[in-house]
Amino acid sequence: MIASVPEYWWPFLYQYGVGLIVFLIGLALILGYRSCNLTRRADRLWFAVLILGLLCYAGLHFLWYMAALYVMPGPVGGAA
Amino acid sequence: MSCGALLAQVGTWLDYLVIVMYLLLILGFGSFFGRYAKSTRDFFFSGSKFSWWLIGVSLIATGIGSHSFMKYAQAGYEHGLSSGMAYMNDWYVIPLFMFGWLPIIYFARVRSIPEYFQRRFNGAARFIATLVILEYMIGYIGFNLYTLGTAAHQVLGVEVWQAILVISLVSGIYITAGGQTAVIFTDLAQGFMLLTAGLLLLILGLDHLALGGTLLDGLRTLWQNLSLAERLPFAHFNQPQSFNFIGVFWQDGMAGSLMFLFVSQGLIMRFLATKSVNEGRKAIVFNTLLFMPIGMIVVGNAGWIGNAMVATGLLAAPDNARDIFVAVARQICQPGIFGFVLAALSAALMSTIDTFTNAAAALFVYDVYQPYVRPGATDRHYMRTARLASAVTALVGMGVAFFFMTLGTDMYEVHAQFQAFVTPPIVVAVLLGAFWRRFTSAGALAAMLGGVVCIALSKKFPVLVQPFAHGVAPGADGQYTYMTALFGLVCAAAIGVVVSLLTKPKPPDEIAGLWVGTMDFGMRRFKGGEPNHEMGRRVVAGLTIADEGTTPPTTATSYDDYASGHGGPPADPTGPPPPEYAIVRLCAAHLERLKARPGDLLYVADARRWLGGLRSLHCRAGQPHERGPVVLMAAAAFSSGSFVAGRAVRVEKVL
Repeated sequence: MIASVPEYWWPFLYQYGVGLIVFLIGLALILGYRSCNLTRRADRLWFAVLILGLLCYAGLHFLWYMAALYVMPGPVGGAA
Repeated sequence: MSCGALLAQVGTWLDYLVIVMYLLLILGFGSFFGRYAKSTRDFFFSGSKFSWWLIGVSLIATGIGSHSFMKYAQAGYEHGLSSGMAYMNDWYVIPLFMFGWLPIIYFARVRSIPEYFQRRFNGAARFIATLVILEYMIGYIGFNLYTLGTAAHQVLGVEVWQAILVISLVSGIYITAGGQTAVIFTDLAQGFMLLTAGLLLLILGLDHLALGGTLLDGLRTLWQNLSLAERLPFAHFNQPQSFNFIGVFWQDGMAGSLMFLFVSQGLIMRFLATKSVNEGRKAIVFNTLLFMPIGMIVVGNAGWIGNAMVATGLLAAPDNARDIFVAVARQICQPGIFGFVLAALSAALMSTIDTFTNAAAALFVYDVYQPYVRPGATDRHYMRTARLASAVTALVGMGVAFFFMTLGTDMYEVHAQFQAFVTPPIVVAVLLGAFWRRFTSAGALAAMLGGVVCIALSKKFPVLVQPFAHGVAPGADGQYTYMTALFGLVCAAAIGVVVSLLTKPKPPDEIAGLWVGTMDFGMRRFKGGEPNHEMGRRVVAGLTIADEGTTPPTTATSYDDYASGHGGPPADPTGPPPPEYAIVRLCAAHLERLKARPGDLLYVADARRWLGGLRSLHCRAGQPHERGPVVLMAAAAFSSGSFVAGRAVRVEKVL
């Protein structure tokens, strides 16, 4: 299935596939050991920041891809 | 003045003047903070009192070395916008740092990574960690000095050794005088400076590309001269061998980020200089979400601009791509501005090596001198040793830079190979120690030694790395340079896990507070009582010196005092007792607003936020008073916090 995805998307998928697994393992550890205790208001806020940060980066990279693909396509120089 | 005449002045008296003024200003600014270093705790951790923004901005200055401009500009020139992808792939490990490593080291009052190894594992682990980290830091200082010396030689014509000597002396002097506080404040100034210079280069470059049009025209030219591959945020998945996504992901994104956040003594000390764990969390969030993407633009844009300038015939292609930063800066900057850019290059260098110099000195004092050479001495004695160690470290770094001068290998390769060798095993030891209770001392030793052996074997037999290579081809020398990081991580982790399962772990009470499952204990020990997690609001009030019910703090924090007063580290292997904080008294209304109770840990700081906590003190709340909206504090505490009479203070609850 991955072969049908254009090659230039592979890094994005890997970054937010393997990277997401690492991120989720981290969340599981801190929640499981109650280092991040969601019964505390401050910890809930920080937990939200962690999720939003990931979404922020994923959104930024996605928009960057869209710009690269669709804003003024047809490069003058270099090889695609 | 014609363009030709302007160019003739580049690298002449005006640029020299700007650089000399910068060096003198930073020397004076850094040395000024010597007055705030009253103990080793101040010298190495700034009394743990600073605000997040001070730490956040200084962190970006520390993270960007002078080699960063050269390295990422070269990558930007050759590969386009993906040059800075290493700046935007740290977020995955942030949960482990924010809620794992940061609270562990902060609440356990760990002063150095090797000290953590001693307390979590044993003395042998500490010894190995000390050697590896010292080697890493000294090498890093030398490498950065050499890079700047090379750039200065190319641009100004000064000898490489002359540039190395001047920078080493300037940074060595202010670090020796001011310690961590000087490092943080100079890094703040230098952080703004290098961000300004980098963005200035971008604007001037776009203006140059616009050929008299607007900046938007310049941006259009830049964009149109990039191929699709060069426009994308990531490089090709696994080609070419020298720069590809998968190599950067594992080498920089995983191994490098983990090394930076979990093992870099300089970074750890920076976070220990914050006033609370919460403040450290703010610093890392803003640094990673805001400053890192800006930093990516700052270090890479000269390469992007250079790419477009060469394509449009505005710049002759340099013989060597690594010279693109200097070539672009030289072309688009007028005299004076060029000097400012070079000064920013120096700022990038000094803000990195000052951190590493201070950190190496801390390692020497805490992990070599205090335990092995002169245990049980007074803090005053260790303070003198700390200053001497800082000066010697600066000199040793200079010597290593001279060594690099004779090496003559490609700079990126040297740096990458050095990291690939030492990073994975020690990162694995810290991670498993912090997040797995069952991880044993024998497991840690085996992971570190076995990991290095495996990496060494992979250099001899590169075929071992092939299963981890994700299709990346080996280099001309047959080596998988960047994928070795993944190989090293897996090998070290596997060895550590297997050996740990075969050996007996330490009893739980011996490692309480030193791994992630015991953070509540860590907080209780840090505070010396039950933590108060109720969220309150800040209070701003007048400060009055009074003796009724208030007490002064002890002269230094407990671990130093305890170690020196008892002839060595405390018998309790899980750490020292909590320090004797000063007791301050607030009125009942203020305590209610803070949601604080008598006995809670408070932070009192000068109300002027721009000081970032320079004049501040951690205290314990005493019984409420009835003298109105003022904070009552003992005279000794007032002096210890460097407060100013008549100035209001801001009070926050810590725990």
